[in-house]
Amino acid sequence: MRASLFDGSLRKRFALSAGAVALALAALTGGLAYLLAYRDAEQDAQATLAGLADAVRNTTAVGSYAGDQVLLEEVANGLIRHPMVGQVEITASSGVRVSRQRGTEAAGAAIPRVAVVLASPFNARETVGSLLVVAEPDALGRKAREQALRLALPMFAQVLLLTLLLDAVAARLMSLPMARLARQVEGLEPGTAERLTVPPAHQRDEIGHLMRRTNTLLQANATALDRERELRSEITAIEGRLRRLLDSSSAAILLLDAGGHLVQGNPTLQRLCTGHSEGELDAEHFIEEQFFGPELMRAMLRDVLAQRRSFSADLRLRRDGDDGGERWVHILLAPLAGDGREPLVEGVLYDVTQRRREEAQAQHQAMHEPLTGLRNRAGLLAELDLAVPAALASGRPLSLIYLDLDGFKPVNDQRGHAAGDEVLREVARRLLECARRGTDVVARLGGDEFVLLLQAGPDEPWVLELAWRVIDRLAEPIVLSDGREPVQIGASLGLAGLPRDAIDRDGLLNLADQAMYRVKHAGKNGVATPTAVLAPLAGR
Amino acid sequence: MMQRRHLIAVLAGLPVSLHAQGEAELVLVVGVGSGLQSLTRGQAVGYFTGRLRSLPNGELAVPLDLPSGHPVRERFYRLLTGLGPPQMNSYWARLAFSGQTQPPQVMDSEAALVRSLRDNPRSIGYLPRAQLDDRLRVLLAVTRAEA
Repeated sequence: MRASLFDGSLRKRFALSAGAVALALAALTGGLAYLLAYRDAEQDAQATLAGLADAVRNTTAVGSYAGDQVLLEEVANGLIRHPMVGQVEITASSGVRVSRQRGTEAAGAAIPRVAVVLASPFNARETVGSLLVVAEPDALGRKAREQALRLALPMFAQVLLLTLLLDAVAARLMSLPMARLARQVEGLEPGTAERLTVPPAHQRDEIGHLMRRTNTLLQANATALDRERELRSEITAIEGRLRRLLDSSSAAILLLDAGGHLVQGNPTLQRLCTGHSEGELDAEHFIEEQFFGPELMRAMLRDVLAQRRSFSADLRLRRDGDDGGERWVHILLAPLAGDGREPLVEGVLYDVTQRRREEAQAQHQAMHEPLTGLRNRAGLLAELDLAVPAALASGRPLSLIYLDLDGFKPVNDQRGHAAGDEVLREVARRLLECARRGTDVVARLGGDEFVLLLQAGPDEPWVLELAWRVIDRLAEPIVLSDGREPVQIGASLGLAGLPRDAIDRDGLLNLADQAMYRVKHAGKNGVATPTAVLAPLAGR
Repeated sequence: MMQRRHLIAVLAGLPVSLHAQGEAELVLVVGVGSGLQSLTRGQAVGYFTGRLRSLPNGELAVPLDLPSGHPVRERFYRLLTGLGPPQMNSYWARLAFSGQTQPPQVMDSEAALVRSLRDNPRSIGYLPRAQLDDRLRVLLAVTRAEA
């Protein structure tokens, strides 16, 4: 505590106030007492002067009568020696005049004075002089002051004593208990189990009330702290469980902000993206760095935020698998239930590489036949469904060659199914050799029927050349693995064009099929269009 | 006050009154050589109380008294000032303090007083009228002081 006189301590303030009151009271009393005492002193002086004048009256009369200067001076000296007397004047009829004065001349008529007419000692009717006695103003004031002080001092002392007493009482009843209370409260820690003990002396007063209220507050405080502690540990437990859930989840979980920046991701995401658990993902460029087609991911994010609903898609990751294969994830993005702050998007990613691979495999199996690896009927139809509309839209014509092997059945019958299969595989190899890799489609519709789909019109010279080359190639002997003599087969080809001969898929297939039968009937190993069996090209 | 004085006079002066009635009146006298011809009663009081000290011709007056306790003296002062011996003593005691004012000169007897009056023209004295002679002159008959 500071030791200033005005540091605001209640006790000090009380003492100061009481002291000021005491001083004021004393001053008031003193002032009043002075006024009263002055009046008393005036009256006293008047009486004293009258008494003095009376005492010396006869002697003065004698002196005045006899004109005895010395006697009169002695009288005057005697009078002026009295502390109450300020001025003496004796005037005798004989002309003798004696005057005595102490200090300054008394100003004003308010100063008490006594004037006595002196009669002759021998003739009461004869005036022989006069005596004037005037009071001493200083003595009056002094006497009044003395009297006032005599009244005010005990009063001051009394009030001072009372103040000290009250101060002691106030200190004992208020200041000290409050200071003690303050010290006690100061030493208390938040949530402490300590309580203030109310001294018996303060059981029923304000201090005791304050202490009990403080205890209630401490109790409430402790309870609140306990509850808070419980809640916090509960939250920590929940948090831990959630974190374990997140960390151990087989799904990659992430949190993105509206700008696509990674706010949070679990270890599975880390492993999914980088292949190992160490290191940090680049949160700033997460989408661009991790996804093969980042614009799709961005579009999804925009849709999620705009429509406030979830979207999902399969996306390819930028980083390929260790086996060099594509890696795919199924990603589900959903808006996080907003709490008014910046919108966030949660995402769950599953590695669907395996599934996609299996799907692709299944699709491949569905579209291809296992023996030759060529497209099957469904595969061909699917290709046609793509190519026909494209051709019609672009005006670039298509050609379809329907091919049926000649002399295959006997091979199958005589040399066995394995030899037949061997022949079919060799045929497929030779067809692929002839076809333009990439753009031309080779399919096996079943048995010994094949189809070639070419991205060119049936009147194109190279299409016809290709057709004849196929015939030639297939006519070459096929050496089988059984070591017996090579097999000799041939092929009949039907050529149809789109849009020259047909303008739809099935029409194209049927026309080519029919043209092929034309060749069969005409002697095999040749090419026919829907309208004519073609003669072998010149120069063969 | 007056009544009281009368009463005192009556009581104290009872034998004197009888004597006065029976005897003679008192007179204020000087020697025939004196310059004084007449005297008012107030002047008489003045000379015998020390108030008047000089004669009309400027010479110092010498008032003469009979011894203390002398019946004539007592009677004289009582008649002239109305005061008895204690009062007069008190009066002179006050003035004796300063020494400025001298009381009348005290003679041993009436005869000595008469002798002094004859010898000193500045003297003033008092006597019963019966003791007058031709070398003394009466200035004033001392009668009872008027109220």
